[in-house]
Amino acid sequence: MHLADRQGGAGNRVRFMILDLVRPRHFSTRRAMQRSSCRDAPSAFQVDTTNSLMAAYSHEEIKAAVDAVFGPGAVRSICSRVLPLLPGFLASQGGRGRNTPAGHRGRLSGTAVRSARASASRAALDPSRVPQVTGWIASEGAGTHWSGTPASSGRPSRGFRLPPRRL
Amino acid sequence: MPGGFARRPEPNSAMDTPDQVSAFDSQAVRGADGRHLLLHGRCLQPAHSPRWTAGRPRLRPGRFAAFLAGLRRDIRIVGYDLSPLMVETGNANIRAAGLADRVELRLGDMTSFADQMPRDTDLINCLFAVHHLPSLDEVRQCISQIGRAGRETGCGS
Repeated sequence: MHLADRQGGAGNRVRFMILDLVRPRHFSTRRAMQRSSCRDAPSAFQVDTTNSLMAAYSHEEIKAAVDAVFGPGAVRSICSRVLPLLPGFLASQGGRGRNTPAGHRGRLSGTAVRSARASASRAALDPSRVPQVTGWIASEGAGTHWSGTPASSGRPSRGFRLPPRRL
Repeated sequence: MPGGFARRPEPNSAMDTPDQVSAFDSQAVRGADGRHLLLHGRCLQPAHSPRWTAGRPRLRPGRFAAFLAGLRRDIRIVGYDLSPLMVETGNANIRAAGLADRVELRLGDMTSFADQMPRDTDLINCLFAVHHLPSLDEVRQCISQIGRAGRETGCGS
């Protein structure tokens, strides 16, 4: 859900990543999640997954908690609106420099969406084929979403923002 | 209202029954949940310096840590979990994978882990764990611990 890359007052950078579920808008999404992501899993796993969705915090709640500790705007965060219920990978980058995971919002082209879906599919079959990334964005509305730049491209692409998709 | 309905805290803070641990162990690198972890690992892989040590307040029983350690053979990983059974299962998985020299799981609480962090930690990674905290008070406590651990370890500097 959140990516953090904070420059402290004394020059020390606190680097952490928090990735988590976001509580869905609709109660029925718990069933959709079960069907799409853990249909064949043991019942204990399905129950835990459902409980996790119901127990998830909203993006705003986590963001407020992070801001309360690190200060408003000190930690970058994003909530995914694309590829719900599935992990995604987008060719988008907002990095500020070497070894700096980062991300930002903008508009995502159709090509990038297709690339994301293809990457997600490849990841399902062979994770070693997922392009390496220099940037990182995570979160979801009952799914997970990453963003980054393929290492080979070497140049930042446009950011992304997709219309909200109701779950 | 965010989420559209009232939040229901997890019935238990720790996954410590054998069927829960076994289910998560079997699913950790399979299904959509596994794909989340794999992609997360791929995203983490190139972004950090070789001396990176990741501490993670909560984890699948060693599978994600082992996967990440396989991606980066120059890092050490310390993971924390509230459940002794998860830690025991995870460490058994790690030993089986031959990674015990670089990956270690310890008993720990994500609301009070800063004192346990290795001094040379470069990144704190909290994956699918925050929702296990019963209330926003504990979430703030967890994030405060992250901040404190960062200050004390020079994490990422």
